[in-house]
Amino acid sequence: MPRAVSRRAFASGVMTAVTAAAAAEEAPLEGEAQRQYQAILERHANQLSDAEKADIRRLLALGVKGVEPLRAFPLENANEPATIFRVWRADRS
Amino acid sequence: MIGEDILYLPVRELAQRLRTRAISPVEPTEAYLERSRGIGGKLNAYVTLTPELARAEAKQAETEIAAGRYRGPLHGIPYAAKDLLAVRGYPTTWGARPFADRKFDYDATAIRKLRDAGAVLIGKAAMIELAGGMNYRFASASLIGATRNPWNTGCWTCGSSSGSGAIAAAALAAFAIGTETWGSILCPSAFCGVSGLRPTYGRVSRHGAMALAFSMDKIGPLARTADDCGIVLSAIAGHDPADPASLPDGAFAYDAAPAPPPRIGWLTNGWKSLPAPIESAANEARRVLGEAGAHIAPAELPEGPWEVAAGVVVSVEGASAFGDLIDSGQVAQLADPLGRINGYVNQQIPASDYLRAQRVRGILQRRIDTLFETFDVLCAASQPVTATALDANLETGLDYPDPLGGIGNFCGLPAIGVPCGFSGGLPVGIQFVGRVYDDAKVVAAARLFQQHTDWHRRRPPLS
Repeated sequence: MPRAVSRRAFASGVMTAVTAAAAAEEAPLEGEAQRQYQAILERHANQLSDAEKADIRRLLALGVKGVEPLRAFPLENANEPATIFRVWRADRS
Repeated sequence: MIGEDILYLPVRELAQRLRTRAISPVEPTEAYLERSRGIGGKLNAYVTLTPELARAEAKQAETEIAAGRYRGPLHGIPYAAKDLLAVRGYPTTWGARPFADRKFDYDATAIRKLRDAGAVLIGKAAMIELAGGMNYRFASASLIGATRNPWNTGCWTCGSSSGSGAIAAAALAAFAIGTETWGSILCPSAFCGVSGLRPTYGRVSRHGAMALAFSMDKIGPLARTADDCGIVLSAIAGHDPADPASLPDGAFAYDAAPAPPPRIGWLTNGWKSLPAPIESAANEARRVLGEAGAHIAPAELPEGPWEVAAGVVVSVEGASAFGDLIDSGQVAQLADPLGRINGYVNQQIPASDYLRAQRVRGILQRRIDTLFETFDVLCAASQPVTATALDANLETGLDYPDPLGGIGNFCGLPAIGVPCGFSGGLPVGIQFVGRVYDDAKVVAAARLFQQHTDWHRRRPPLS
């Protein structure tokens, strides 16, 4: 699907979803998630209802928590990204 | 008007009747169009029907076949395409209200290739808005509402190729084209009881297709059989300079001849847990495959933050692809409450996380590739659930780890899903996942299974 990419895989799939979601909904935002929330409000506050803002807070908290295993994964200096820049010219593509 | 027995034929068998002129391409085209208007309307399977184009293409096929200019097994075969593929002169909505009236003045490469093969386009299939690129909470996240499952109209078809799944299952066309970034072919094939093929990333050009995640989007068929999927893939595969990710050697020469017995890695950690009826159906599939000659041994996916990394990549690339829509506030026009806000959230994911995910991806590519030194394909149940209720909250009702889907899509591995039973009247499926470029092996493994079963020939109780 990607359905649910961020729903299933990014956020929920790496957490024990129900308990984590419940905790995230109730806890006040702090640190990174709070900064992200402020950045969204600065640009889009007038486009969002109070209910949507609450949902965004929940999603941001889930996202910051959910990405922890990725940030903890050990990488070597030479581990290059899977998608890298390639030179291009029209007659050799 | 020809009957249901003809309309449910696999492409290969329908092609035989067309080639020998037992029937004209015009006949199934008209019959599928009528069925698509009636049953298709009830299922919400189509965004747009293209009867004028279909009749013109069918008539042309009829003339050419009569004149001895037979193009191949798709000549005169009616099909549907997910409504994110550009078709010149017709609406291409991406399933989303902000694009409801948009038309392109060119054809997607996949559409052009199917036309070159003589296939007949009868309509644009319904889909989840933006292929789920902004995420969604409900099956109704679509320009025309939820697509109903032919096996139980109170259930969903899964997404995002929701119409394509319904069309293949209800014989509203001989096959349908879908796309997958993560699960959008495999899940509808499981929920709808049809065969769905996700090709190797880069094998099918995405030129003219909506971009969701540039480094993960794939185009593939949903059809009655694995064999049909192979036939369709051979028509749409091939290098295309218009798609930067197109494989230089992307052509797919499909050979339906019997293949050597596959070495199947039966995944012990494909799903965290399976309900008893699904586990039973998968185990029975394993038994059938073993008796058919497959060499089967347990296999295990590597442990790691693969799903998280894949999710970061899809989220960031999607937020970039739809940046204008998000920044303009037009996302507020989307049908789904989660889709209306999630773009804002995804825009906040740091570049450092995206790049880290891409570096982790490089490691995963090598780790997963070593598994295929031992196995031709990996096999597991397609989904750990059957079709969900139309009104289910998908944030909680379709929320489970999917390591095989995450790894397979993150690494661009080919996969096919085929039906292997029923639970509570709803289809259950198994999936075969292969090494990059080994599309032929996943098709061959699924074909072997279908040669010894008849789940793919079952028809939903439609009226």
